[in-house]
Amino acid sequence: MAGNFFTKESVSRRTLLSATVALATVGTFAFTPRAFAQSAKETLIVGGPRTPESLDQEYPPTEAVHEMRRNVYERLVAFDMKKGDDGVLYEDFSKIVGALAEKYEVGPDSKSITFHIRPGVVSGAGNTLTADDVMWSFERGWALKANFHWYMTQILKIDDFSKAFEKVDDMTVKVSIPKSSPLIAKLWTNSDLGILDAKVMKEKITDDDPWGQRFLATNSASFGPYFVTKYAPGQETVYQANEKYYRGAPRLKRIIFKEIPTAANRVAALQGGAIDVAEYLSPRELSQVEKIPGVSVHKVFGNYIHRVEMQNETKPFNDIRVRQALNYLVPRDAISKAVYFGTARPTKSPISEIYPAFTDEYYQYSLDVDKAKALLAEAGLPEGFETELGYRTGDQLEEEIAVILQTAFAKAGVNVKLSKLPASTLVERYTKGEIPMYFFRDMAIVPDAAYVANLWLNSGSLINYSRFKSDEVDALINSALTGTDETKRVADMKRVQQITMENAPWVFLFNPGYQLATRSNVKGYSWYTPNGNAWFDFYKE
Amino acid sequence: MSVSDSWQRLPRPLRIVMSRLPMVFPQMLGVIFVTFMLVRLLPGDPTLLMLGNMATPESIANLREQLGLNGSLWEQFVHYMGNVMHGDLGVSLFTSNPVAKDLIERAPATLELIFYSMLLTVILAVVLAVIAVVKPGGIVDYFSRIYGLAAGAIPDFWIGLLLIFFLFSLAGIAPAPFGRIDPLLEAPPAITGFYTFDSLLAGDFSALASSFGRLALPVLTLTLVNAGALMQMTKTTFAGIWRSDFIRHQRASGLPERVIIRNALRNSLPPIITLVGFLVGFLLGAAVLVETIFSWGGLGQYAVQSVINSDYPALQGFVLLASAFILIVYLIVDVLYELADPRIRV
Repeated sequence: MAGNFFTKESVSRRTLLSATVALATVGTFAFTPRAFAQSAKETLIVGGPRTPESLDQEYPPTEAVHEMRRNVYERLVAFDMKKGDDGVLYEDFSKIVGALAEKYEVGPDSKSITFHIRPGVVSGAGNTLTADDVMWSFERGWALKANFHWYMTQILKIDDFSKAFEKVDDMTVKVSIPKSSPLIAKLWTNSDLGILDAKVMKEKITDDDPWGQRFLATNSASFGPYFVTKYAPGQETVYQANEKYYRGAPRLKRIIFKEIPTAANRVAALQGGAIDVAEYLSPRELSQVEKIPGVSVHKVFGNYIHRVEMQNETKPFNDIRVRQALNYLVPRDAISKAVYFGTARPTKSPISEIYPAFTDEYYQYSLDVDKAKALLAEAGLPEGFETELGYRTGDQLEEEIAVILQTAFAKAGVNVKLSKLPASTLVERYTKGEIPMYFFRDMAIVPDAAYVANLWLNSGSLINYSRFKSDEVDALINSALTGTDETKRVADMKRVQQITMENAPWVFLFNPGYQLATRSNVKGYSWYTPNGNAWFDFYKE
Repeated sequence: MSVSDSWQRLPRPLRIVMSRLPMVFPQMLGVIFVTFMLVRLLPGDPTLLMLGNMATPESIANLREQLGLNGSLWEQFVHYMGNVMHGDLGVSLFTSNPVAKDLIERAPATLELIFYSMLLTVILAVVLAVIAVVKPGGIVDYFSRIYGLAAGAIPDFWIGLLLIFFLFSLAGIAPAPFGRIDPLLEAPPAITGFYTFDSLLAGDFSALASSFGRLALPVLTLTLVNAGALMQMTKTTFAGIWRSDFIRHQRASGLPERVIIRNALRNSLPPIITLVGFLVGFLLGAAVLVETIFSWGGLGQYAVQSVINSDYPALQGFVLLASAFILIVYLIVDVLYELADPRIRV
């Protein structure tokens, strides 16, 4: 292959070189870029750290995939949108409205939900939505045993597909679940549960690929505002507007998402006007970008919770007093200024601050070195102890916080060895409980306190990596997962927050928020729980 | 007629290639084995990293099955070898494409970068070296000394970032430092895979200007770093030949300077060819960093991502292609070497 091209080279080289010199000068002036003057306003160029790893909604959730889903897949129901005081569009978690389903009814005891499909919804490929599309999407999700299956079995406790999912008529689908669930309607707002264009999918099916996984990994087939016209992972993804989208044609007709791995270059490209939007910049970069004329930074305090988790089952962290002591040693003001440049604020609960039932009234951990020393002395460790703190390679932010924590903890004799580890190694070590402390930054996309608490605090949860265990918390979460009395659920979840804050399974750090830097003519910023941008809401002035 | 006779009748370049080629296969096999084992020795489990919140024993087992991570290391290797023989390098975990497709799509980006860098490196290095030797004590001579010292000491990613900062951010004369072409322009239809050639073939001059513009900074970065070593080498060899008896004889015979330089250069070729061969291989490694800085979307960037993501099939595929590429380059070097100096038998 290589040899072949070298020979070709020598032939055309001379012609090429002479042509080049002429063109480099002439080309720039004479040949203006093709006429995009009109469509430049309808085209958005986005620079992000990574293109989506797959276009299939059954692919494991990542930040890039979440954003792709938000733009390509459409769900049955959605939260109503309302404008916050800061001018940003947010989801109103108290009001669910129809999306692909025009309306829905929840059955008695919240044990079933009936979706009435909106007539005249058209996919990117031009097909009209019917109950068959919905049923086929359910069948596929169930068979592939990934995301859809996880929500249905873990959250809705469905164990038999044929009993649970029923096509009532061409425009009606009913889902019945064994036990009542407070999430029966809320869950379907999730963009992981998109509806596929079954007509397109069925054309792509082969005997050894009955669910069209190979096709959907690199193509889109849904009823969302955009469809993908070019998927070049590692380089770019191009989204084209679905002109017949049920909420109206998107104002931005083409979204070009460029992968620009180096954050400094996203800044440079935004500054130079080569891109319209720069995603995932560091707080330091945001503070510089804000000062550039022609650039706006949008900031929200979303649902991320950044913390250091401690291995609750092993010494010395099996003692509550030790865990509390570390929480008293964190210089949160200093970190907020030096590392976050004011874009973050302290996390005061295990539940994301924007979710219903959140409370910060049990937060007690101000900076208090004497109290920390006293707690350690009570725990029989007056001289402190040695431990290890793990963070990801390449995570500048965590590295800076780790260094500050190392100094802060040393004031009470706690000597921390910092371990910089590749992400997969770190994950493997904390899954097996082999590292005493590690950074953990996560968010739960379903806005429900019991759902969040169940993931991180239920001792039965596989991702409760800190191995926190409280019988009362377990009981409260389990009852809130099936109870439908909203007042009782809120009271129970407040109690869970109280116990958790007292038990301090984590070193509570920050809500780092979510920020987006754009050119100033890009308007319509909105925020959704998966922290992916919905380009449908955006427009250019 | 004996076998050796008919062998001797073959044209010399063909003989060189044919005696050299069988070596490539055991070399490739060794490379595949070593990389497979080394990659598996890396700690970390991609399934847990990928599943995040959704990890259940069932979903973990399900994903491990899809990724071909079940079974012993030997079973995995035998399975992998079987697939490689059929041209199937597996599916990348993080692009959802077959690895072979990913590599084929990305290879032209990297080759184009390496090609222009090499071209510029050779021109710059040889011209500087020749002028420095022919006109000792001149400006070029002094410059080449300082440059030769500095070039070996400056890391490429740093030069890349400096160039972006000064030429794009401050002066605004360089095009945006990402991608191979302006995102608002269509890439030319793929014929060679080189955007510059393809856009010329398609007669698309705005694409041509844009792709040359995007090439400027990364090529400059790679050239500045690599031309130093080649220049030093050329200078030493060329200076030796420049002082030799046959050059003095040519000068005494009144040959024009131009011809003398050409003859001296012709005689300095073998070591230059060797170094150029090494540099091509080296550039593939240097491209890893430079591509990431310039979001080039080539093989180097792919390799970096696959390491970060524990993407085993992609990483193995890259190493396989990279070693094949380097083996081919060395093969070409060997052949050119023998052609340049008939006394040498490789």
